[in-house]
Amino acid sequence: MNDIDDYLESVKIAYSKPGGSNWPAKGRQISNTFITLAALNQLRQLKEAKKAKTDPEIADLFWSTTQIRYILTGEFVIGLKILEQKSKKPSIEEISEGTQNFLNLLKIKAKEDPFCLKGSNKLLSKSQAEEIENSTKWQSSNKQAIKKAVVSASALAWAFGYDTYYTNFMEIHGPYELGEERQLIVREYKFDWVKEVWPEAPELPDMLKYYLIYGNGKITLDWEMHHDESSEMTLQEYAAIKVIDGKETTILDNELEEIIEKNSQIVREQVDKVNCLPILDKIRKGALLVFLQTKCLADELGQDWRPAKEVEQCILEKGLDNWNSTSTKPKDPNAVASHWITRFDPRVALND
Amino acid sequence: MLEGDFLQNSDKILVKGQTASRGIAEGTVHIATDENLEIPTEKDFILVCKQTNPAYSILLMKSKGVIAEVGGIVSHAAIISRELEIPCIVSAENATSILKQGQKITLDASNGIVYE
Repeated sequence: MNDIDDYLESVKIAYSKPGGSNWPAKGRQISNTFITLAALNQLRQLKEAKKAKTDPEIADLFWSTTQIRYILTGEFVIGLKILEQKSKKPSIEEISEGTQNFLNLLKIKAKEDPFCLKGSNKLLSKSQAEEIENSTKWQSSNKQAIKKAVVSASALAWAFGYDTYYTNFMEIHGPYELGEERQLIVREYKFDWVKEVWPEAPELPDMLKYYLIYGNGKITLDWEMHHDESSEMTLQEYAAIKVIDGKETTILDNELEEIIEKNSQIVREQVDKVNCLPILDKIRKGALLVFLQTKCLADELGQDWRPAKEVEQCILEKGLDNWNSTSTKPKDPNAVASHWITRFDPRVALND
Repeated sequence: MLEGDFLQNSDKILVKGQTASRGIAEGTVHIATDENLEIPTEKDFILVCKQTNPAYSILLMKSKGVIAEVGGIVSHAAIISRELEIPCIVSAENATSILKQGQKITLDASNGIVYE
């Protein structure tokens, strides 16, 4: 199997799990309006970066592996294929080459299993994971609170990132085997970009990090960062850390409840706010979230990361029609997977 | 109580759904909507809803179990329930109309069923 086959196999696994979320709308209701422009922008940025930077340097411009994965299945491949169908440009070969270039970045960034085919998303080496195990002040007395803290942080990422673009704010990586049936899962919530899209959002830490050590069972992560735990999984120890202005501080058990309450309140306000936005503004915020994915790349190239004027023009001209046109994807999970695989394969032109 | 105890009571099944997070919970039905996400005064409530969005997270944290009409194993309700280790079923058709506010129920999520 080559990289593109591996990527498609991984996508198939992720997409065969039914029932993703549709808040505040189906992803395509938002991105269909500007998907070709977003994909062309991603292709252009990658080409320009490759002229001046090495692949490892470019890989460093993405904060997470999942961000790269979401670019590929979110806009890049489908957006360029739609464009190819309409204008015969770029070619299928160019789309395949661009896809391979993104997959190469993924292979650099992931320490192993870049396509999650073994059920992992490993950003740390074994020694880095062991260093975390040895240097962290572990807690174990309030496991229910840490679980709620994780949920409230995930809800923040979903609320600010719509459900579809939460990878701008959240990454789950691991599992890292620590021996004696101990597995480390790292959950990072990065909120320093929230105000780029939602300038009036309340102050949040730059980052929240949750280290969770589980015993027994097995956790798997897929291409879409869906995690699946066997029922015998048990949380053994945990550590919570907040990062403000680059300084890491341990969050103690007695602080967790306050953080959960505060995060939950912010989530409710944000959801209410999004629900009240007019449709075109929902799409505009969606466009910001899509273009935010390559912010570091744009910054490095000395360019504005925000959507170009053509995107706003597209939203004005086609936004409502696209929003109102309903998706007809099949309901059977396996049929859904096959449906998307044909669209995510960069080597095959679209026929419909 | 064991899951097998409930399997014998198949004549009392009220709702069926897909297992999203295994386990059994007993409690009173609390039907929530996007417009009404108030936390109920009852301590042992089972959240029943059409589908969730991120704003439901606080309700999920306080519930004993979750029954959602829409969604699959990677929906909010499913992911959060597994995180919190509370039972959850999804794709539970018509749950919000069949189950009544305050009704006492048992959710056997491992078998994807709700009993009176």
